[in-house]
Amino acid sequence: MIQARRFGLTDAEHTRIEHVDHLFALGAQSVRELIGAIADSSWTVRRAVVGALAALGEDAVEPLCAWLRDARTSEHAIAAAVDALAGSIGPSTMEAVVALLDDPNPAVVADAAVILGRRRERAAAPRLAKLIEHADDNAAVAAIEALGTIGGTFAVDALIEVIRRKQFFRTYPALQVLARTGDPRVVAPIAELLSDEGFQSEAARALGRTGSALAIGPLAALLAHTGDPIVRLVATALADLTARAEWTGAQVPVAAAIRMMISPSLDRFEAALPGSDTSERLASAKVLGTIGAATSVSVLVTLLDHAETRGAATAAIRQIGALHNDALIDALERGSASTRVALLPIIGSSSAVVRVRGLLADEDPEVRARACEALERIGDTTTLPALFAALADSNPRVSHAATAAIHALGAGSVSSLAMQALRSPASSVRRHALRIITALSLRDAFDEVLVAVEDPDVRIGELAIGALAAMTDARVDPLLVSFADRLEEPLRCATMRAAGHRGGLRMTHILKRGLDDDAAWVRYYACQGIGRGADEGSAHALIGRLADAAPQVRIAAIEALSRLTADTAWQAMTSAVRSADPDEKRAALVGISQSARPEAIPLLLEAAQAPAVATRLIAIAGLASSMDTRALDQLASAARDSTAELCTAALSLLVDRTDWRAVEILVDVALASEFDHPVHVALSRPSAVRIAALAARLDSADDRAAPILAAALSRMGGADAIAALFDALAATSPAARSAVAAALMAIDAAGAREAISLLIQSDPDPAVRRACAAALPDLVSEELSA
Amino acid sequence: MKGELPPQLAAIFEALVEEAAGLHYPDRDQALFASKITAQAAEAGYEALLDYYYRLRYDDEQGVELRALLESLVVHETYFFREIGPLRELVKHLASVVKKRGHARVWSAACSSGEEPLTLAMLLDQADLLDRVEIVASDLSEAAIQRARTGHHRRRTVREPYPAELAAEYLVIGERGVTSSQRLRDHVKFRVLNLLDQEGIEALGQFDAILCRNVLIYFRDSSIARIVDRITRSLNPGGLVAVGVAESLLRFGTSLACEERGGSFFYRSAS
Repeated sequence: MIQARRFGLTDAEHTRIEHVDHLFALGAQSVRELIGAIADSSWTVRRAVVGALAALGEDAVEPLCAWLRDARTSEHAIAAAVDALAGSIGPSTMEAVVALLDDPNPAVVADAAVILGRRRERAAAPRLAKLIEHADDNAAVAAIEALGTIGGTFAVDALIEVIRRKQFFRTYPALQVLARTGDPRVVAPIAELLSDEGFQSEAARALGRTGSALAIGPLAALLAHTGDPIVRLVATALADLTARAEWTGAQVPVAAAIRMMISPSLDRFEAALPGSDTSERLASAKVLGTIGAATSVSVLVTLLDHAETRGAATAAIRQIGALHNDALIDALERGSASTRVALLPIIGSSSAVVRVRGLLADEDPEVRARACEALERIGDTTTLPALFAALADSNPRVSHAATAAIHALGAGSVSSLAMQALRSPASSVRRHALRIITALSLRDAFDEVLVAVEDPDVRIGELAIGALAAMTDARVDPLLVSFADRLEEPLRCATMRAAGHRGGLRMTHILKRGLDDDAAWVRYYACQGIGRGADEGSAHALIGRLADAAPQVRIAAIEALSRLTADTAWQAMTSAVRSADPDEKRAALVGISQSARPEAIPLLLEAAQAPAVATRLIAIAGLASSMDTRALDQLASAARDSTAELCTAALSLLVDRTDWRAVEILVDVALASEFDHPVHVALSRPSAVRIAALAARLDSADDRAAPILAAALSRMGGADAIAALFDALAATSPAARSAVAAALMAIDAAGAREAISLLIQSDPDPAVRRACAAALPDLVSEELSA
Repeated sequence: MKGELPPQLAAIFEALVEEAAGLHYPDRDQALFASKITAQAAEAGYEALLDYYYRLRYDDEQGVELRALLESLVVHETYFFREIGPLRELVKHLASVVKKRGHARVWSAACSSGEEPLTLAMLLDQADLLDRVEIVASDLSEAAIQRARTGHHRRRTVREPYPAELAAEYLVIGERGVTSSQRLRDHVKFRVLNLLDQEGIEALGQFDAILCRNVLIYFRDSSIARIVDRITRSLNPGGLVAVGVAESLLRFGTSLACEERGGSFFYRSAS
């Protein structure tokens, strides 16, 4: 049941944990003894006890509540009891804990509120809302925080009342909770606190977290105060506000409002930047980027020299550069190497071509590489000679970037320049020239490439064989047959690669011979080539290579077998998937994934639990299109995984599916995630099935889910998503109607004002009418239109 | 040549690099990671990345190819006089150790091409302590250490604003590069060292101060915890560790105590 980590524990702790496991196995009869162990001096043992009591469920609920009410022997033990009830699987837990809210001891009441909050017991919200008025501060604060954890707008009115009273201990947590509700009613009362110095800072931050355009006016008004600290405070709040608006899909109207109301104070934001700490600099960069003034570029480039602020500064400069390209080119001219490295990926305008071409001679290789990439993006073919000159760069990253740019530009003059480069005395340049000739299949180069096969630099010979293989020319196959017997191993390797690319009977014959070559890498490429041609007749020979002494050959054999349909090939893969070598295992998994056999599912499910991230990624990719329930469950689990790569991959695979269940999974993950989780972006990728599924969930959504679902549709944008939002103004759920009204106003949707005005008059629910009224007198929109 | 690798391929390369050197590439750096690996693979003669990966895994017994890859991946982001305030405080600490014991030892744990230990050497020289403080400086990159030993630094290793009087005394700043004083370099023992190499770290001995600034950002939390543990064991009682101004060791549960000295934060081992 409880898997204790077997390292770092004393023998005595091991013994006690084993005893806890034993007690758990005995069930209800051991509850009393387990509760007795709740005050164990070891944190690890207490964790085990908590786990056991939570898992015993119903049998432990009443005894734990009684202990909390009557015993309460130590802070450690109380914390453990709270944890056990917060995690309890007992069906009556909520009812029993709610009963504790009536206890005369405020400490018990506070603990009960904490438990209900951590369990996210929505049904307990009305009781918690009443507790906000509790005479004891700790009990009231616990209730406020619990409501915040549960989420939604249930207690908005009560919490607004709390902050109006300005009671020190209760106002701070109430601000935190209110800011997260997404309810437009909260902006005005929070803004009132800005005039009170004791609450000003926290109120400003709370306004930022609302993400509402309505909060920008009050924040701008704060700038009437002098001094840099107030500017930094406003910057932090506006950065939060912008991030939140990106989440709700309201970034365009919010950015417009910031430009209008904050631009007059732009010089103060720029001046306050140097003395700011890192988080304030990140915030200021975001604000300056949103305002988008050309003058800010010179301030922002000072942030590019520091790793922690470089990303934010680059993003801000990118925003400004979209409006003021000249400012970017100017900064490129005058900035440091770090500035050039950061700015070059943003440059894409033809007006920058001369300056960028000049950077091919920069002292910093990263600048030179990025200059090549920028020239590729700019797409000016007059830069080809300069890029060909960069093939001689001593830094491989630069010469390869130049090669890539030449491939992409691929104009008529490339052919002659490539031939010139092939005659270069520098072997590195000749190598790059051959890569270009290969990529462009330059048949005119046949004779010179054939000469290059005999180049003293064997790597040039390899590339030359590759270049020949890319040509449509009848002379190539006989040449490859002769190269297969060359003494130089790299040339035989290149021949196997070339044979694999060309295919055909004659090439298959070469490849089969290659399987028995003395050199491991020749055998490796022979396996690859046979796999590419899916030559069923080679199955037996490939199976023979599964016992090869060289691991890479065994892997290539598995990869090749995965292309074959023979049962023997399948058996070889199911055997290889058990290999202790992770690469062999992964190669087999790729093959198994491609087989589309039902027997593949259990193997992929098992691999999805592997310790190596790469193995798990292959496994979930293999499950991606399966309609098997277990496969979908596995994708859902991966989407919740804390490993970023796995989570991102699973979300991407779920987004690519077009079935309703996949959207349901995305919605469930979104409802359980913070607002900056990548699932929200995934959920708002446009698709008809996602719009339909979101609209269906919205119809009955509660006040916690409704803003999340409405935001997904807002971010998605497009006529169908917006129409779904308008339809949801008639949703069954009042929470959905309120959230959708706020969302439509936030994104300034055409016709929203009229529709919401109608709702204010006609909605049967007074809470919806109030929420709509709060959203409608949109100061920002009115000022903007003025 | 650019853009991101397929996630599976990225994952196996990341695991390989992390196992070898602890370096971790977060999402935002994936495109750069991909382009560097692609360039290095082609340079090693592999047009297909998976072939290159198998070469590194199964046919690189001496680790030659892997070292070349790591060289291409490491970031030499440093400059003279960077975050000089904490270095000045460190000189005061080393002065007190010299006063007590007659000599002191300091280790710059990821010195890149040597700008940090050379800046410290300047400050020690100004305080007339250079002959009594042994400076050891290490980096994973052989190329960077080679550059440090020759004293030829890139032009961008001196950035405005900088203390002109120190620069004038110890550096020659030219159009294309910077040359550091031979006398300073003679006082710094440059070493190639992987911060995950426990034996290598132990072989360096004990120190009165360790500079580990602006390097932990390149590691995953689990690796940082291991590095911090090893560094802590290399510290004499009362010794100080300095990390970058944006870094903190507190969340790794270190046994070192965080303290402020002259506006800079250090981590001190128990006396």
